[in-house]
Amino acid sequence: MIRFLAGRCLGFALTLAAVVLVSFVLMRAVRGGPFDAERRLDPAIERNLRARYHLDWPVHLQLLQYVGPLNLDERGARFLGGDGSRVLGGVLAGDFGPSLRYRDQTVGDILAQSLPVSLALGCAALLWALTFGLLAGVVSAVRRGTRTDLALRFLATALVALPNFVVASALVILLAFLWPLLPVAGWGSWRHLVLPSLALGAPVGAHVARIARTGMLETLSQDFVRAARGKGMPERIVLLRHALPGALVPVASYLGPAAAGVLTGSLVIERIFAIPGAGSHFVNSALNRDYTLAMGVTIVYCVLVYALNTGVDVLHRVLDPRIARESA
Amino acid sequence: MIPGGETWRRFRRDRAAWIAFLFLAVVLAGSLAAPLLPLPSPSAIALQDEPIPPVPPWKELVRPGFRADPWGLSALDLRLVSVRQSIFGELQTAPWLGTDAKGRDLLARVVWGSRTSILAALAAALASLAIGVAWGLGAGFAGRKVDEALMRTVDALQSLPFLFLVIFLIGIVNEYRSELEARGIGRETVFYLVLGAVAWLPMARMVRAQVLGLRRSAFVEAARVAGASTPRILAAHVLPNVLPVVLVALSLTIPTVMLYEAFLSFLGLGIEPPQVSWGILAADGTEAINPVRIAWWLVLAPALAMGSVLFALNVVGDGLRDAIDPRLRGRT
Amino acid sequence: MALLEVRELSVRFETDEGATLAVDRVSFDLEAGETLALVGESGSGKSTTALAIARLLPVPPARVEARSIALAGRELLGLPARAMRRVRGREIGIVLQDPSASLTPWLTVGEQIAEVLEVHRGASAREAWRAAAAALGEVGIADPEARLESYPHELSGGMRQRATIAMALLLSPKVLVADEPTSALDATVQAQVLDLLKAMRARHGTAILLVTHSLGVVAAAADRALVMRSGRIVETANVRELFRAPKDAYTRELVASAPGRPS
Repeated sequence: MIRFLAGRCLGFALTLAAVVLVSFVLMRAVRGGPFDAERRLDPAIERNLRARYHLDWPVHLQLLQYVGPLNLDERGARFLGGDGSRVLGGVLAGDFGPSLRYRDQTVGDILAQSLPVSLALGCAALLWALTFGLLAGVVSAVRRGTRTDLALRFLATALVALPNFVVASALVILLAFLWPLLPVAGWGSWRHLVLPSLALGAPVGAHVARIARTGMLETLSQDFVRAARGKGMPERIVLLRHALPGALVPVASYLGPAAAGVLTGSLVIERIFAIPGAGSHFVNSALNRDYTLAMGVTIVYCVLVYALNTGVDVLHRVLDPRIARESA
Repeated sequence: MIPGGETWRRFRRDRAAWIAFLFLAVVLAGSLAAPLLPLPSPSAIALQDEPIPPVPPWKELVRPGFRADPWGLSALDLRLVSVRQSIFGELQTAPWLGTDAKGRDLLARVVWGSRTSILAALAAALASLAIGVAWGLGAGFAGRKVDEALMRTVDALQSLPFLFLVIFLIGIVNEYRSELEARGIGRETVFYLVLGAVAWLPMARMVRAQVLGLRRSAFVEAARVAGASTPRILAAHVLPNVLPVVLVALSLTIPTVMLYEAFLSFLGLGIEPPQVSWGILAADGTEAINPVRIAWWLVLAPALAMGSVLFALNVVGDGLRDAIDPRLRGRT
Repeated sequence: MALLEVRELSVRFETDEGATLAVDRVSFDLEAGETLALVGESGSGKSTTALAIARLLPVPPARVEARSIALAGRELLGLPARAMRRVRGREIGIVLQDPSASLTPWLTVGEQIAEVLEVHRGASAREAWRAAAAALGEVGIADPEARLESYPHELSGGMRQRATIAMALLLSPKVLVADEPTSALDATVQAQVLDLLKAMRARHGTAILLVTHSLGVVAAAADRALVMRSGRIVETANVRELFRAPKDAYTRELVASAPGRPS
């Protein structure tokens, strides 16, 4: 297991390095820059801004400065030509730089404020998705062909077919306007969490239900389930102990990448419910050519995806001990 | 596993999938015939403040007042619209699904908007087929090193946040908009290309997995022993057996791409008005809800449109999967 | 009165392509302590018959009809599901064909054996574990305590089948239904498993309903044999009789094509 995780870490470092390199160079290679969207700047001011953020340096030096850990500019180490006041800098030293758009804030600050909100929203959404999705999938499989099964499958397919903001609109109309139970916008209490997390989690839950159903049916048709019944095990034990772990494997595979998207907060949901999450930063940083924020956001997403994928792999091994042997 | 008459027959026997398939065919036909239908114009703006709630067809079937709005229509469409005018004259359907705040009939907008969704689907399908299949075949057939390289790229691309990627691409493209437009590549075309550019990844994975499985299979081994060359093996044995997987992958990719289109249009990065797409309808609906004037029909129209078509696509996809591999049949 | 009496058992499979009659009014008796073989080629209905008796066929698509299935005088046919579940394990033990497929991959061997005792006898985890180790030892598995912690894929095919047999005989059932217990095993291991079955029968006095397509297995392990073809019984005989003077034409073909003879 240790060796496996170490291998994963190495792979992650390589992938992250590649992603950072490509994104960094790509952003600067394309025409246009971070200050274009603002009101027409005086050319002298724009030049100053560009110089201040080292956008006039050659790309490879910008990259080195960004990654760190050595600070290359005037405040860097003396041997680099700086005044020695700040030797370390860059991502490897924990500094993601200032946002080029919101210049009084660092990327670190912006993300520290907005990410936890998105994470909270995302976790709540995943909780809904897992609970209802697994329940629906298992019940559907166990009662295959009955009306319950058909109804659940219909619901799941319908939810998969709708964008989550349409689901959000429907929920708002039903549960906030027609039947005022929950607040519609804002952030602060648990009640603000309910509707957006439901809207965000519903399509994910629908996918989980479909996958869990297929996985469960597949596992239930295996011989060892028949053997377990042959031993006279109660149906509950047969389903939960013998069959379910097999069905969970494809669910875990799906959830890894899906969770990354959910946790980083669907921009759309955040916009509809006026939630101060990180989703908007994903979009706006790309639109505004806010290089540093965009890089910060990309790195966070990469880390998340990799961590989740590794988590899924670990989960696979726990659920099905055969997997460890196959990939060894 | 080779698709053919047997698979088709099995598919037809699955009643739900067959009905869904017919439904999609009807939607396609309606979408293509949109300019000819006696609908109001989807973009003609009427001077009114409030969205009009739906008027059911049994209360009022048609009413006069058709005004053609030529904005954004191609030459062919314009000609079809004039044909429509000569047939139906001033008559247009009553607002069966209601109108929005600008007086635009929602049914018309749904029907015309379907064209965008279909174009998006086609873009995705083409890209998936062209890039995805080639990539997957290459990865599956070539040696381990090539396979690793190809699939690592797919992994890396998939681990990037999709939305971010697309926005970034669109941002880049916007920069060079003038050059592109000089070459006749409009913003819309670019949009579809971008959608296609992200759609091929799942296809590549599925094709590769299938090819890897096939390589070890008995009949490919037999062909190789008999001395068949690689292109021959590809054409005669691999392609026919990859086709089912391609179909299934398409049935998964197309709904995803249509959902992406909806998201992007919602964010204002997709189709621009007065062009209409289901994403724009959904966005309009979402933005129009407020506690005072609950215009629920503005959400219902796109929900019905997207929901039913994507639902049908999923059902067809499930049916295809069952028809192709009947061993799985008992399990769905 | 025989231990197990089956009267006019029929099994129909209903699929979208139509209904097939897999077992056609089969009747037979299984006496206490004897090993009765159900022989036939694949598709003859022998496995289906055996599984139907233990009510292990998925219904639908299967439909089971019979006049009577009686175990030790008790009618099994109309038993409610919960009661039938108790019969399985306690009175009827099952050993399925492919040992690597009949053990749950994500539970250790010990967990799978122990749960039988925990459910049927209300044993505590520790008692069940100890009994499980003893059962493994009884079937000739070396170092049983260590083996309890193993996952099924970590054991060889022969060991897995021994473990499955141990599990089936744990509660000393009256009848053991063995569905092709050696077909998925290597030849040498096959002989060992058959010997094990005979030893266990001697020790526990269990009657065995042995489903097999191999006449070699019949010769080695069975007392009596029922030959099945297309869902019907074509001949019933004592094994020696069967090989010496088969009455039915089909049986004669089978015997003639069998490699080797009983000793």
